[in-house]
Amino acid sequence: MQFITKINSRAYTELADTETKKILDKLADKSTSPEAYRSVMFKLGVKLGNSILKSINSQSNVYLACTVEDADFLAKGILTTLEPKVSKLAFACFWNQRFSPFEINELKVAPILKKYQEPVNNDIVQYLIVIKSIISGACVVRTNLTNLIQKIEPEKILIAAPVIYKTAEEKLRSEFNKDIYSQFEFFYFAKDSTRDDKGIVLPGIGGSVYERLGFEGQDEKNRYIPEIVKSRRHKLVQKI
Amino acid sequence: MYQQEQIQELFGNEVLDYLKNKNKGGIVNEKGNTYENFFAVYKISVLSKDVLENEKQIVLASQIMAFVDDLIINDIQENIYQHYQLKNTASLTWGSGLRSIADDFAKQYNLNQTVSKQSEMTLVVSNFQLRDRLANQIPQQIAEFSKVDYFYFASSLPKVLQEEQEFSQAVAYLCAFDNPEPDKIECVASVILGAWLSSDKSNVSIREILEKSRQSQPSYIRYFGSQDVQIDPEVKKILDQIQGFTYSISKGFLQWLKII
Repeated sequence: MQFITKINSRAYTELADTETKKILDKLADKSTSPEAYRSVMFKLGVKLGNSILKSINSQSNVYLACTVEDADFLAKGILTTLEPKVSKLAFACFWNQRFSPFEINELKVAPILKKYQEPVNNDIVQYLIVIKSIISGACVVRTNLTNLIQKIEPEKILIAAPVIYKTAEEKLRSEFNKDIYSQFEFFYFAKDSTRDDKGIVLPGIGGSVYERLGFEGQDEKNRYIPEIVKSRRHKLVQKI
Repeated sequence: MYQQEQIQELFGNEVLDYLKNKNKGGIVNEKGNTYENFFAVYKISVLSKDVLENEKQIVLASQIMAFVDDLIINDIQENIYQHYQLKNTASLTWGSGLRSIADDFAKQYNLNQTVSKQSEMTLVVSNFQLRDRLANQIPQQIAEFSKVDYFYFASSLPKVLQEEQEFSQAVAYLCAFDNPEPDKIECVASVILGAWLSSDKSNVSIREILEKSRQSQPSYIRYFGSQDVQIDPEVKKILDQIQGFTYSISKGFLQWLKII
């Protein structure tokens, strides 16, 4: 990933045009309402989708995976951009519970409480795309990616997020063996190098994504069934 | 486990001071995600089956006033202390004289004899070549009760679980589900690590660690009773009527799958 500008503790990649930077500022702005925040996430999803489209072969099968909080916003933006342009697109959504056992901050674990996973049948998956609103410790991405590659053997793994923390790429690679991490390609607009004492990336995406999107914390987001999951499940049922 | 007076009487003041400093250094430098703690979780997991199924009483200790104290497993029924010294380095020798591994092993053995305990000393390293070399060079005076083992090193627990099959299989046994997916195995292992780190590591039984681990929400740790929990008949009736819904009760957990 090439970096073209650096402002304070943030470095923008070549994927971030002027409009994208403005959108990222809106994301970081604490006064942005949840409704506007959701819309901003969707727009960033579209922009990430367009960046990904330039790098992949359109005659390919794509598997897109996200977490529940990102499904109707960031992931939907990417999905609606990619789906009409590729041969086939399947989708997975994960409900993770991120926590530190016995409040030991050094320990981070994010088990999958439930998942929605569309079948790939016997199709070869060229691209597995894992989406996240922000990647910092990479715990959730690692957990979900590990789960996905039990059943899917992609030719390439794309990790996409609007913003990542400076050590996230290295951290994620270090959790996998070379045969897996050599397939990684990262797509992001900005890399931040500061975290507060609670581990929140600054300016990042303006704090905790759950609250910013309007969820009342982790438990509520884990009770939520995204509209995109409902509609895709409905379509799948009709096909059977 | 050991009294300062015993150590002083057996080995003198210089050795006692050495042990005091060693112990202080170990506690000050303690962090969570370490080679020693991952190894402790591995041992807890491997020994759990015997604790749960055969009521084996095993007490653990770490960073106490002892010569070999990265992990001490006290098998109460067998009356044996198993001591582990962990070294995550590419070069290491047994050495000789005070502060050497060979001397620590010898003194630990002597100390255990005075408290009428059998001893087993293990040096654990993260390099296969080093393990083989050290195993071939065990000094004569400690050879009878000493050995060298390998344990994989990584800075993250999931990576260790990936590489150490025996470890992940032992954790899978403790998991609430049959054939658990990697995230559940990682969760169970991390919860045990958290329980270990937040316990009094100078004297804690494996059963206590397991009971504590089960208090974590979520923990995905199995029910420890011999008979599995039963589902309420009314609830069963409702679940049985849902189309495409399959479920099972296993080790205290309800696991379900809804086929579209």
